Amino acid sequence: MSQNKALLEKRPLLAAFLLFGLGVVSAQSLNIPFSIIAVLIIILFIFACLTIAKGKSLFFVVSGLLILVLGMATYINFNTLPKEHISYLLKPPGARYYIRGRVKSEPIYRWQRWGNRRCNFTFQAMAYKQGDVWLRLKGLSEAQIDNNELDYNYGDDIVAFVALKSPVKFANKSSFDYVKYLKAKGIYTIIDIEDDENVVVLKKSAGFSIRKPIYNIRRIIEKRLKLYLPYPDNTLISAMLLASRHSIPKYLRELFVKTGSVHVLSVSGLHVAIISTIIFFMLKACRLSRKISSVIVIIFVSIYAVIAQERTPILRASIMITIYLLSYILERDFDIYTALSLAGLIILIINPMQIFSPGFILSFACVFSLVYLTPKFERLFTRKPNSDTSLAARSYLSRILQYIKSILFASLAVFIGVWPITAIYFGIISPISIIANIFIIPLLGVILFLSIILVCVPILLQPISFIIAHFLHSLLGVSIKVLALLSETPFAYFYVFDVRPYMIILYYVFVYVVVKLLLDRNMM
Amino acid sequence: MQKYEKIVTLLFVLVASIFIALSFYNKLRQNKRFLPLKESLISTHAQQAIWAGKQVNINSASRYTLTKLPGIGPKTAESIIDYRNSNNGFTSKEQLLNIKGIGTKKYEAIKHRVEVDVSK
Repeated sequence: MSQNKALLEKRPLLAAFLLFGLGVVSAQSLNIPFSIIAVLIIILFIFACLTIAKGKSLFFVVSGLLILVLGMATYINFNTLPKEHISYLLKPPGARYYIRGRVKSEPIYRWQRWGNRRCNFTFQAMAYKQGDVWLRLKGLSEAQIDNNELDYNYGDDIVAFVALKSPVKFANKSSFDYVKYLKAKGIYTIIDIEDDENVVVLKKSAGFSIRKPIYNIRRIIEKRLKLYLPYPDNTLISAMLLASRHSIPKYLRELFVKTGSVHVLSVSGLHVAIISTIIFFMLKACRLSRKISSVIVIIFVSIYAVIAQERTPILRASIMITIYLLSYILERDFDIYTALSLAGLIILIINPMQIFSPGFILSFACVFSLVYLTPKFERLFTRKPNSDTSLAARSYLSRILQYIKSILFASLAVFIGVWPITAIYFGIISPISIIANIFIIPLLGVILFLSIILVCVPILLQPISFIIAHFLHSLLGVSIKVLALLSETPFAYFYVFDVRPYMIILYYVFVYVVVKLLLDRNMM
Repeated sequence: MQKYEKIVTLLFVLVASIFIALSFYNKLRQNKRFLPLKESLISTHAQQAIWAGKQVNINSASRYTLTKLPGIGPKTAESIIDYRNSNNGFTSKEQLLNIKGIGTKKYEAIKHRVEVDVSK
């Protein structure tokens, strides 16, 4: 208990993150009016100011409460829609409108079973037509154009004749809630457009945004991958590098899900860490100083977070890497719990609904399990080297063994930490992921390294590109075969239904007790 | 926790609170739900171009064009073309009700999107 107290006292940001998150979660269930929250904030703030000169504990309690209430206020503010919000047009249901707005994401094109193409993108509403006048409109929608033939781009200003709908929850086995998923992105409506004839592009690439050149780079990378790699290899690399998973064939996606290695396909913190390390070593090879390299990596990581469409795990990893490199540049100590907490706080301040999204929960649970459990496993299972073995052989062998062990412990720690979350959100538990990750994670580093070279090699050096593409093709082929083999082993994965939150809480309490009783005691 | 750290924490909370309060006030401050925009915001070209002027002539439309009508799939589109060919074209929209696969409900949904132009 005292250890936990010290953990929080030494890391006030961790306490702030947990309390802010608790505030957001409690605001959802308590339904308190904003006026009461505002009064509470004022009272607590005055009280906190008065306790600055007083004891540490009193300030801790008051400021903790203040941050909790601030979390509540952030949630209420985020979920209060402006008066001109597009969701107010949902009544009467099925009504059709002329709406003007802007394409706010990279459109995704998918072929449907009946042969037509569908285009999906996030749409920012700006105005709608009522009678003969255009009235102001705000808010985001998920737009879909059925029977789509034309290509649209990020930033296009369009007018469309649309039908507005409310999103509905899919009736499937897992508890994935499409409505909540969209709500976490600030989307409350779906815009249905029958075909391209109901859309007029007023202006191509309107307005200024840093994302435009970045999306152009994204398109260039996708084109290059299509040029050098066969299908479905190009879709896999595109997912690993750019987080665009939509074109991966279903059977491959299921294979990765079954073996618990689907995180490889959705750009995660691991990808950002690997890519940053690759860039760092490339810069080191160019004989740049560590501090300059760190600054370049920080810039790269920020751009990459935008390229990969600001997904939560990438934002989390980018913030953590930035803090790590800044601590090096400014010559300050780096604490991973503080970095994790700061990343979490920033993400929740921007969008408090993220706390309910599987991406956020998985990302933070994964990192927390890694940093909390892995060192404990390592200390528990590490023995003194055998003195009979020769020094050279010992160092060579022990290095390989140590490497395998460290990946095994990391993989085990992540599995222990996240399986309840995958069970509750995706309805699947994959024990085989412990072994699959030992194999896939080192390979991912090589695949990403080769992919970056493939993307960066100039078009004039085509023979080199083709050789790299050939390597990549072989590596992906081997990976898929191994994963297929692993997925067929007995008890590799199983589907679970109706996992209750109390079961999950009991499980985490059980893990905590086991760690305290067994692992911590053994270390003393 | 040092004194300056406490002050920084409170300053952060103060800034965040002011930002949230302003944002919340800004969302609620409009008395009217919607504000009129300048007519010039959207070109007349765009207004004319979409939807209103684009009706499907069932006497000349291709199978693909017919499938763009709500609730009309390839099979029903084929039935419309068959009916058109065997009856020397449509003379009124109501004739659509004679086609297998088009009931009153579907007809109501598409009648404002179709026209019968015998000259084509």
